[in-house]
Amino acid sequence: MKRSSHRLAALLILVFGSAACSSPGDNTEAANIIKFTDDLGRVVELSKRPERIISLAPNITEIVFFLGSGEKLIGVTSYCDWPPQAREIPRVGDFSHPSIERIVELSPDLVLTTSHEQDRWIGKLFSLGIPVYSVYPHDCEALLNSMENLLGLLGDTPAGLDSIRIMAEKLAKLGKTFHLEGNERPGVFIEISKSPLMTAGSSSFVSDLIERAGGRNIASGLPRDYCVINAERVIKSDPDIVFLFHGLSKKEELSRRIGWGSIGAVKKGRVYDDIDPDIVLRPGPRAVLGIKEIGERLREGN
Amino acid sequence: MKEIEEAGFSRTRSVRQLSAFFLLLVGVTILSLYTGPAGSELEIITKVRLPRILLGVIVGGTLAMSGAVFQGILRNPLADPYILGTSTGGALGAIIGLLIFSGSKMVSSIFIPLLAFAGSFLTTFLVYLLSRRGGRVPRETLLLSGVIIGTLFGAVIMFLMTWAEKELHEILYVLMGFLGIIWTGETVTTVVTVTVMVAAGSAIIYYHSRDLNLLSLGEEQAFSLGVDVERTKIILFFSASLITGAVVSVSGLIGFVGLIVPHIIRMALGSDNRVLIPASFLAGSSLLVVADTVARSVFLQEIPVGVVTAIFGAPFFIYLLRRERGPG
Repeated sequence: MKRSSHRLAALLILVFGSAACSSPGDNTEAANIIKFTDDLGRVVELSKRPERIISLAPNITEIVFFLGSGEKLIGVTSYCDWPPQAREIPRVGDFSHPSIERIVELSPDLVLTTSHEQDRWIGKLFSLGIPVYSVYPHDCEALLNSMENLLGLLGDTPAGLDSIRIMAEKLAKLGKTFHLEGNERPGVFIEISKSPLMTAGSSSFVSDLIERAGGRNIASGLPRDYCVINAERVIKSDPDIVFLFHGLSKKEELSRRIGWGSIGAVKKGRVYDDIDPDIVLRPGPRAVLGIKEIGERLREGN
Repeated sequence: MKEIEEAGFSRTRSVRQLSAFFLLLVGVTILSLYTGPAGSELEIITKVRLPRILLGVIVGGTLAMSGAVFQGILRNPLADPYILGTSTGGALGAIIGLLIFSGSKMVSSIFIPLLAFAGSFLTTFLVYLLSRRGGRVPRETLLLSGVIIGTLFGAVIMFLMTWAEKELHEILYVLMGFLGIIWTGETVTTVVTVTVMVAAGSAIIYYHSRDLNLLSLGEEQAFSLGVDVERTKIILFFSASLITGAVVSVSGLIGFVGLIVPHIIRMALGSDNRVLIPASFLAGSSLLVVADTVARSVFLQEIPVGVVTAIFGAPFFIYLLRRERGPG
């Protein structure tokens, strides 16, 4: 009963809402079929605006709330802990192992996925008749784009558009505040995991935040976003600043690592463990805060 | 009896052979010290590469030596700590330790190797009991039990992984075999603990290497030659599991070293355990140091050393299996 009343509501919104919302642009809306191209270049066709959405990634959950559509989320992953309201939403498993059965049971009209890691779920869900749209931004510019596209799909709202515009402004402002010329940029080592030692390559989202905050990621040229690397590479490239983006190490521990004492960041005590990894690792709206936190630490002692 | 046993054993020859393997290890170590992505700065060589190479020496040597012991006791050329489930049992113990002692580092640096040893020993014992058929241990049942117990404990590890959040990467690398640990006071304590366990276990094994020669002839013959068969087997099992569990707790699951190395040594030097066991240790060390040099230097990102040994080891295992089926 409950479900059918949701459907009715969705239908009503569709009938009355779609006429008002139809916006001219790259996304066509003809014969009640709405077509969208997602971040992986897939064309997603919807017969109506999605009202029952499942998010399969914590950053997407944050984005949906940011765009003002949080109440449309009927399922999230166990990692989706922000904003706090997200914790009230039913769980459909974790990021890498969502439960297809649970998803089908919730009868969503759209599932949002991210990254190539989740590609295998796309076909599965699609074959079950559930539309899947992927949000996969790899830097802040792409994030704004992804948000705009997603907002178009959810139905452009003035509040949503405002949120994106304000975020774009903040990003531009932070970029100016923290701008440094190439040779002035301090070398930064991003530690994602200690055991094994992992860092983020230049194609990763967090690397873009470091660049925007005026730093230079020393681990450029890595083939993937996150890689296990040899400690001697870190020591050799002698970073000026180290960020620990995982909960397992404290900054004091770095000076006790054998061989790490010669690193500039360790000598000068410029190791930071106090930034919430979620705000810098999740390609979502809190990235703005992440850049600010990183930028302030990069400027410390200069 | 003494004459039969001593026939064909020349002390000077075995010393010469072992010296050759020792020189091989020294050569490989020097080569490895100067190979790496960050050039040859003294700081990096002494503080990053040297500890890692020493770890490789201990781990590779131990795995090869316990392989030789298992092959000897079980009179089965396909036995090795990985295939018998001993390593998986050790990994399970280490992972349980990792999850329990997640917060307290000083405690964990001693207890994780001990838990890994308990896991290894119980697994080997279980596999041995399961595959025993009227006093004999047929190779088919032994391999099957090893694989089954290994799979079972592997599943338990996977189950534990669904509960782990922060430790997930660490567990994954335990499963793949990895020597690139970050060295701090705690890891030094762990590795020293492991080394003490390995030294004790190796001494016990070497002391029994003559009995192992007799065991290899068959249990009845060994018994008639005055060996306390059951006691010797238990001691050797215990020691080999001790050292395997200890190294697995720091290196994770590294396959095939324990299988391949004793075979190559046997082909080259014969099957006298008094030579086979120390030579296996030296050759296993050399092999793992080389494999780890590949793992840490070839690509921009590190590859788990277990992957390297498996890529070279699996074809060799297939070769052994086919040869086993042939004339014998």
